[in-house]
Amino acid sequence: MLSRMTAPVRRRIVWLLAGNVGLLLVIFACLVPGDTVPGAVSRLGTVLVDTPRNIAPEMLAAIGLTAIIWTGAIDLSIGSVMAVGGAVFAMGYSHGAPPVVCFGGCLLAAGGLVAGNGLLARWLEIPALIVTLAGLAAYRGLALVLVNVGVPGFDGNLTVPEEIFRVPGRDWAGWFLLVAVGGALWCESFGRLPRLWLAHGSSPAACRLQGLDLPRLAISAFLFGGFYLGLGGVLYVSNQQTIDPARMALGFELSVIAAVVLGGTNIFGGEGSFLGTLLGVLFLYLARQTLIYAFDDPHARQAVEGALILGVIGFDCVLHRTEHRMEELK
Amino acid sequence: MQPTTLAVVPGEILGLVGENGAGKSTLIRLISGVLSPDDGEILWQGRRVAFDSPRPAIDLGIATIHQELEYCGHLTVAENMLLGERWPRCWGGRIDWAAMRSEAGRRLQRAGCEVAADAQFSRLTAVEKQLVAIATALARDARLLILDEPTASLAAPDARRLIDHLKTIRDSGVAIIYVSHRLDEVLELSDRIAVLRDGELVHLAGADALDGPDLVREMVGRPLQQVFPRTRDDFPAGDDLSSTPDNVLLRVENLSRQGMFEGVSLEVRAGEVVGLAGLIGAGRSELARAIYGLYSPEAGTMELLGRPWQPKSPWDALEAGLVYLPEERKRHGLVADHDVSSTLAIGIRDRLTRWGLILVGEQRRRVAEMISAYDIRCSGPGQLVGTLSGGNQQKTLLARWLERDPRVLMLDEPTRGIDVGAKAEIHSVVDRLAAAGHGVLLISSDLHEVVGMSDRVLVMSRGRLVAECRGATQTERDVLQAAAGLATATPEADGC
Repeated sequence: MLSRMTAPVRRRIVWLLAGNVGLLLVIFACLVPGDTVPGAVSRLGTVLVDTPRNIAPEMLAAIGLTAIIWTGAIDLSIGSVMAVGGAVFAMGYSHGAPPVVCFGGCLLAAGGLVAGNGLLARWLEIPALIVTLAGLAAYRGLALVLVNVGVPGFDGNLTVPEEIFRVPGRDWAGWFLLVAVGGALWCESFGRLPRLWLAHGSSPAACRLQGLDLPRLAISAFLFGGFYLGLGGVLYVSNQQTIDPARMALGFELSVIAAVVLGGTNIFGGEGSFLGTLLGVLFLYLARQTLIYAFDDPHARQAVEGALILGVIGFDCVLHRTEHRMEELK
Repeated sequence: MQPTTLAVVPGEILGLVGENGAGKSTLIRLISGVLSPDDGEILWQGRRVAFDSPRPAIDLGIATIHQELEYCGHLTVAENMLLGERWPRCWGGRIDWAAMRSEAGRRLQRAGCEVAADAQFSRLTAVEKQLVAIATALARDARLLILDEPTASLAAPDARRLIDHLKTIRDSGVAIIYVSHRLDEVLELSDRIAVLRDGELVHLAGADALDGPDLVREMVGRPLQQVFPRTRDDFPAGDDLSSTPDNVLLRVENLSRQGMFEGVSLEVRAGEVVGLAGLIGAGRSELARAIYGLYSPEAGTMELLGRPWQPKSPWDALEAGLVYLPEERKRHGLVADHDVSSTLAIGIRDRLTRWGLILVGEQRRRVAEMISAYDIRCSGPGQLVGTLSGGNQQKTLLARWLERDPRVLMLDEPTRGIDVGAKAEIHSVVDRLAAAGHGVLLISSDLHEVVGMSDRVLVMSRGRLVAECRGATQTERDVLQAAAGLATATPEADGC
């Protein structure tokens, strides 16, 4: 898999691996002063054990979005799509549906909307950016309409106290993540579709001249993305005790896009890797954890997080600008 | 396209020539399934066929290599070669990457192309990309190979390598349609030559029956008197450049930038056309871009019009009277979606605005004058510049900069991919500029052009200036030898 990645993507993966190890060391260093070394090790272990559960929704959504971005498209509406998934879940729950129906509805709604975005972009021949920008507001509104109409006595949020509904997102999140990530990496290593998505993003004209069906390729990426995002939605919903479609996954798309770009995926398509995306999500999560120990002010944390993303990408770009320029000249 | 009847037989190279806009690309697109004809039919091995996309044409054995190669740069050579095909798989439905590499390697080897199958495509050189494209086409059992300007971006030795390769392919029984503006290549390669003019087939005959001037006359519909017009005096009087020290407009001393060029010194005088020759990757364009302010040199000094020259950006160059016509006009020179008017006006935007507002009437007047003065053939100032022919696009770019009345012009491959008529017009403009006292640095891979147009030719190889050819040594053979590293004379030496 690594040998087929472009040099910048491989480089970014190395950077992120080093960055993630560095951040773990920083977290450890932050834990030591108030504790003994064995105590700090134990607390670091707790952080690591909680990691899969905390990053699962974002990581799954990021994998889905990576596939879409590879084709040269994007989906900006994923936060709102998750809210619709949450609303469908809430409707099922409030009507006494069993967990499997509630989660299935959530997965189908979220996945279906993402796949629908792809179809809409193709049929209307409108850039996916525009379609999903419209979806950003429309789906959030749809989620609110659904809960207001479909959840009796809805008053802004819905509490889900039953433990059974929290099993996928809390107890099984790690396993879900393992299988889903393993599947994505397998696909990237041995599947043809991911390479064709990259080809689509790299040069649609070349693909057309080679007789590839571009609309079908693009829609397959949205279907893949929809499935992963739907799965992420299920884990997100089941990890929450309350469903609040107005605020649910607000700004989620920005942090997912940041992780994807941080992982080395070219925002204009044609270049990237799932492995980079996974490391990008992990880097952002560990950076947030580090900042919790380093700064009390949440606003300062946000600012530093943004600066960190810019710093990593900027440093990588500056270091290798000459190489890119030579490539361009060639 | 007007109704056209044309046939090509196995083991034949049919040269297809014509001015820009003559209909060559349209004809190719029709044959390869990119466009569908309104009328008429295509017969393939005696059977009527119709293509609604490139795929059916590829399946039949018609392979087209377009002038601007379309490829997925981030993918490997093997993936690009097998993009539209079934990929080999092993157990569990996995892609068998080893089998894929070996299949691509086999195809490359069969086509005589020494490129690693797992190399990233964007890292290949221009000629390697062309050869991979040909290997891809041949591997699909292509019976008809259509090549549109395959040597346009290749240096002379690489073009020679490709031409020799095409002769071998022809001898194996493949039919080839070869489109090129390089008439010497067409005459050498082709068995028959078809000439298109204004979408119409105006001439079809064996290549033996034609020579260069005949071909040009058929293409443009009139004789071209001079390929390299010369209205200016020989420069300078005699060969002694030191007799004109005050005329130096641009002086570069020991200019270096790692990985691009090293220790380059040159001078361009008023009224002089200095040719800069070399193979692709020799560092010619990089040098010109550094002088223009796109890169900062790491060592060396520059002087422009007698003053120290350290540009911080191209805008400094424009203000100082130095302009650069880029090598790739579509990527670096034009915004294809802009119209002719705004493309021309952007060059003199500082002179067409007052208090930050565009003087619309003045712009309209100046643009109309420029279209007329430079004979830019367009439907009007509102035509999108991307829809103009290559020659008219180049004239638009030239007009844009010449309106600034620059003292020094750096022209990077100014006639690449344009037809013989537009080429002669651009040569004439260059000659007039030099005659009027401008200094011109002419970068060209076309040896015939660089030798014919220049007062002296500087030759670069691997980032260094290796020779200066002038007078009796200013011949294509001498320049090519120096570019290939066979002559090591320094610029200070008299000749190659």
